[in-house]
Amino acid sequence: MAQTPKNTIDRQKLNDLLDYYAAKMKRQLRHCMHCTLCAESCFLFKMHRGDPRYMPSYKVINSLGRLYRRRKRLELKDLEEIKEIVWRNCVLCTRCWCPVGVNIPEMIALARAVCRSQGVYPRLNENFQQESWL
Amino acid sequence: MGLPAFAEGVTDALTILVMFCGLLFLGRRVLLRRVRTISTFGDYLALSITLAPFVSGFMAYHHLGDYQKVLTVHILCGEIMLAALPFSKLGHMLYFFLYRFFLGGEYGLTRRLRVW
Repeated sequence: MAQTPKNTIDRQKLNDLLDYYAAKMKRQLRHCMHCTLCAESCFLFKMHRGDPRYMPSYKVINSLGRLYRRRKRLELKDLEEIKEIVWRNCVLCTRCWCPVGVNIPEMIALARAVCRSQGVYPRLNENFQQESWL
Repeated sequence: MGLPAFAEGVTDALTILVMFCGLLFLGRRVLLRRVRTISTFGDYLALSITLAPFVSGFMAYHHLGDYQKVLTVHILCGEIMLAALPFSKLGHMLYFFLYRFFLGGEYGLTRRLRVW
C-alpha cells in the first residue's frame, strides 16, 4: 500500500497543463495589484492573527505565480514547497474576494492539479496517518 | 483672457494633500507586514513615479533648489509618468472599469454568474 512518489518532473505533463491555462492565469497574476484587501476575506488569515503567509494573494503568487515564473527550472523540491502552500494554507472554501475580480480559488485549484499531476500531494505514511504538517 | 484656473493657494493645498496621501501609501507599504511581504520593486516604483511630478512641481513653484534644474526634473517626471501609464500598475486606474466585470471571479457581464 506504500505510495511511492516519483523523483523527476514530467515536463510534458507540466507544460501541457500550464500552457492550457497560461493566458488566463498570467493575466490574472498581472492584474493583482498587491493591495492585500483579499487578506481580510480569508478566515485562515484571521485565525492565524494576520500571518501574511495565509493571505490569498501571497498563496497565489507563491504557488501558481512560482509555477509560471520558474517553469523551466522547476524541480520536485519546489513542488513540495508549493504543496504546503496550496494544501495547508488554503482549504478552497472560496470565501476569498478580490476587488479587481481575480478568481483566487481557481488559481489555487490549478496549482493543486499541477502538483497532483506530478505525484506531489498530501500522502498517508506507513501507519496510514496524515503528514504531520497538514 | 485665458482658461479659468484655480487660485494658487488651492493648488498648493491640493499638492500637499497628494504628497500626504502618497506618504500614507508608502507608509502602508513599508510598515504593514502583510503588504510588505507581497510588495515588489514595481509597487514602489509606481508610487515614486506618481509622486515625483507633484514633489518636483511643488519645489519648482516655491523655488526650492535650482529653479531650472528642478523644473526640468518636474517636466521629465511628468512625461515618465504619462509614458509608464499603460505599461505598469498605473494603467489599472483606466483599465479597472473595463476588466472588472470580465475577470474570473466576477463574471457579471459575460456569463451572468455573480458570486455575491
